[in-house]
Amino acid sequence: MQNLNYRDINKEVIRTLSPPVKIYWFFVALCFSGILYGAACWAYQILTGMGSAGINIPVVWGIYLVNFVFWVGIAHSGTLISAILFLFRAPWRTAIARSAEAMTVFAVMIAGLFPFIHLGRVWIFYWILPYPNQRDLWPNFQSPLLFDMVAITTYLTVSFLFWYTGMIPDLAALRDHSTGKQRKIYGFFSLGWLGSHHQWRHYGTSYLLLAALATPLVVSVHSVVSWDFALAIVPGWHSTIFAPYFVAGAIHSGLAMVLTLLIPLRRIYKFENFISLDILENIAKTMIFMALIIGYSYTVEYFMAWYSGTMIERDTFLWRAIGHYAPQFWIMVMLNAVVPLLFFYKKIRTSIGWLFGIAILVNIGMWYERFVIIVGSMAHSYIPHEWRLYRPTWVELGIMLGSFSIFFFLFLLFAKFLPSISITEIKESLQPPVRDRGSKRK
Amino acid sequence: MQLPDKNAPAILYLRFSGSGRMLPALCVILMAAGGAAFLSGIAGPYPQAAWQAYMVNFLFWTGLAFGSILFVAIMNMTHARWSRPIKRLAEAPAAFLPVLLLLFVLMYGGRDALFPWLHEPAEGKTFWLNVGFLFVRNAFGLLLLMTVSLALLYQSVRSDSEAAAGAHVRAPVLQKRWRRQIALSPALGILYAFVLSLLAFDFIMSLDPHWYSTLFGAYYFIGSFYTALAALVILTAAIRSTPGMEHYLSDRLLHDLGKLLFGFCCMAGYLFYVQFLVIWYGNLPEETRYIILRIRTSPWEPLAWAVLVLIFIIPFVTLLSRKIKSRPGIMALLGSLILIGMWLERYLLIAPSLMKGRISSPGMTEVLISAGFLGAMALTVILFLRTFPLLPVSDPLFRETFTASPAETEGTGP
Amino acid sequence: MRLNAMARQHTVMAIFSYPDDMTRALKSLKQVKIPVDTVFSPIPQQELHDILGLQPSPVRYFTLFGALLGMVSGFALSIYAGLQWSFITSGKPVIAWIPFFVEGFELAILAGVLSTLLGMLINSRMPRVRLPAHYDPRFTEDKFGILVQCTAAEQTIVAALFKEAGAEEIHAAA
Repeated sequence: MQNLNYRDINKEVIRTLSPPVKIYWFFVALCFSGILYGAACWAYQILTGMGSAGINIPVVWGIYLVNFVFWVGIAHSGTLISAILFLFRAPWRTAIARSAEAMTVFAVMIAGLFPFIHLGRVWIFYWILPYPNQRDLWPNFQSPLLFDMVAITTYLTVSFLFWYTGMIPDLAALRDHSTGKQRKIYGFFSLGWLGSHHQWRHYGTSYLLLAALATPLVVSVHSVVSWDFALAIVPGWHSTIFAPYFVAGAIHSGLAMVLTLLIPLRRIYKFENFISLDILENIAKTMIFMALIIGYSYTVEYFMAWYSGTMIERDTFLWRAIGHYAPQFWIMVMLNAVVPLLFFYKKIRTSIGWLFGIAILVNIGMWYERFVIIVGSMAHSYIPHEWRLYRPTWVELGIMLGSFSIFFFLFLLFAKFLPSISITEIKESLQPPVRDRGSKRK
Repeated sequence: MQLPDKNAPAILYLRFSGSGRMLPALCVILMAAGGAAFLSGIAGPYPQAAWQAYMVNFLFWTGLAFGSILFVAIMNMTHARWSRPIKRLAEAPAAFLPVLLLLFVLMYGGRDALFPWLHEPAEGKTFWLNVGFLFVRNAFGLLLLMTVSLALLYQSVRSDSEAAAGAHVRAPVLQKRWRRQIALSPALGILYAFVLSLLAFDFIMSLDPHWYSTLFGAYYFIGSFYTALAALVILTAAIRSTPGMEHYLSDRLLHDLGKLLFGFCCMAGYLFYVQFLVIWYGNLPEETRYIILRIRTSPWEPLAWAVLVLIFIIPFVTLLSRKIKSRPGIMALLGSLILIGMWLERYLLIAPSLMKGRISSPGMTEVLISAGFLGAMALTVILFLRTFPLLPVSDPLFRETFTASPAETEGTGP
Repeated sequence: MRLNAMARQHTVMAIFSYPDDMTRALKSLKQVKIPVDTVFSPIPQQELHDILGLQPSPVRYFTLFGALLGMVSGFALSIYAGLQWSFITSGKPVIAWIPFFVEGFELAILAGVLSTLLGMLINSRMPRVRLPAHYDPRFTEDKFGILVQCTAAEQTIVAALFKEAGAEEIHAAA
């Protein structure tokens, strides 16, 4: 990559925006049909009621909430890579930041859908907003659900603006390269960017401030999501470690999704020189760290359940390991805390096949972790005669399929119509062009 | 002392001039005062106060020492370059670890005063909370973590000493030592989390045997890392005045260290809030009792406020400013305030559970015994920095970043 | 001042391929005390801050103000709602800073981000609908540019200066 000049960078990235091959449209259509199916399931649920989902008493939160937490978690890695690694001046961030941010924006959007889906009577969603009304009712700002509303709205807005702001100079590059209607559209969205030193001065400071603001936001958002559970007194939920534990888990699943998206992207677009194996290796190393934090959390939770001496805590955690949802529990433990430790071996973390495979496994494991925590705790709570199992129905699974379809659909569109690598930041990471002594220019 | 290559870093050692020469003597005086206060304390009518101060200090300084060497491990794991010049300063507190292990063993003598569950066994937990098992498992953990820490220390220090004595920087023995440092670092990181959590659960959390918090271990070990960073800031500011060091301990490095300190200030505040919110919200008496005792009753309430101000509010507001982060004097002062705050925080966690009958605020006993520990740690650090080169001259990342050419010195001697 | 502005109606735009050529030109311009209007580049250039004597951007004040406003608003909204509809749950006090801190924090970040962007747009005079006439689309590709406003007399000096520094193209206009 070091022997590319600025013009080459523009060319390399812009060529990915050329009209797509037929198979692209096939995948877009496939995802779109998934979306339609999910929408149909949701419509069915609205028409027939929440009974079409498998939730019951006492398991009042089913896979809609599991998916909610799952998608918010995925969003976190994008901001980690984009904002936090920017503050640390980590060089391996540059080629993957834009795609990771896009992943964040789409994941948060999808996560935000699930509370609506779970609501049942979607049309009254606005009751959660604080607005003056005839009955003088106001939402309860002490409730973790209100924390969610504020935090997710903030996160969606901030991650979108951060992603968009980062793209402004690149959109200007696209504007300057294109003609006609395309030029008008890119021109509109690049807000008249000239690359003047006035603009760069304010832009540089603003981007740094956005990164500095986004960093605590990332930590706070998944902490808020964890408090949906930790602030309740359900055994298995009421645990002080939840906030950092969930944040680590979010980063873990997010990094796995980054690998899942980027490995095909770099192959299809031939971006191997930008998204080098070193970068993927660094992601793998970060995943080891997250896996260790999660392993630590599992250990401490189990120890504390025993140490507490209370029968209910001990029984809840015992049931997790040997009860009805034991297979999900053991999948969770093995795939999240044990399998990623394979990345300690250099051969494994530098092999594309292993990287992709372990990433998929971690995605599955992290989904099951949310399932075990949410469903597993409610199914086996304080009162034995209330204990009841939960199974997702075809409606819930259909909507979940729809959510994955939206995600890949949006990412496919992003990859084709917007620069998936930050042109400007790659140029910044290169040595500046120098005139050759005497003879030809580069 | 200079290696023959002009571009190679100087081999510098800590040397005192003027009034600085009094420092080791001062440390010995503090140690003597602390020892005397402790011995007279345990021989007096209220031995518990002395043992309590001893344990608070043990936990504080152990956390600091391990946290300090953890900084080196993290530096190695992330291939950080900016912090290479302060590697030796971060290793220095870890030299105190053998003394701390000895002090740990001696703490067995205070078990009657220190462990409430000794006299009132906690039901259902006697398997875990009995004095024999407790000391054995913690001794084992401490020994294991200390071994790995000292191994990391040894490889680093020996490597630099060999380079200072003239070993070729690419010599196989130095390469081997570097590889070992890289291999030991993740092991240290993992053990740090588990051993310090165990320490926190057994020596702080168990003092109120019916209370528990899953985050407590992490709260302790992150807080310990925060104290280690504060100590590192103080050491960096102090060593900066050694001739030759200012070039390496640049404004940029101080600034970066300040940013890291700010980050962990926020992290410490975050972990506190997270525990606090969950316990406040659940409002379960077995959990809230612990917190209410510490923040609502006297004499603990003002102490709790002092801790908040010293650990979080002052550092947060101060470290927002760019200019302050490059001023060594102010940063050293800030580091000291953080250390005092964190010490008081450990005290606040421990003392209310132990002081059932006679409640008093921290007084002369605490000050003197703490001074004793401080003197011992300071003396160890001084002796360590006097004996080994201040800069990690054989560290490949240091050489890559801080010398003009990655020099291959054919050393003929210092 | 106004006289100067009216007199400096002529423009000279120089296009460079190499940032150090551009830096050299800027230093020369500084020596002859001719003010630089704009410097264009595909990536930010840190050296410009010193050469052109740029102050740190005032956007950070927007951020600080926005964040404080957001924090206060978060608390204010929560407290107001609590007072208006005092719904006591689990015996908790109706006004409690501990949970309200979450709203305060999140809104502080949201307001901080929005005001940062507002500050950036205001200070950069963005969005602009039309690009200036002298703008060259290669500035987002690989070329650097310096735009100078000067008098007719100064034009030749400036053009010579640019040529010496290594400018590839020089466009002078009235």
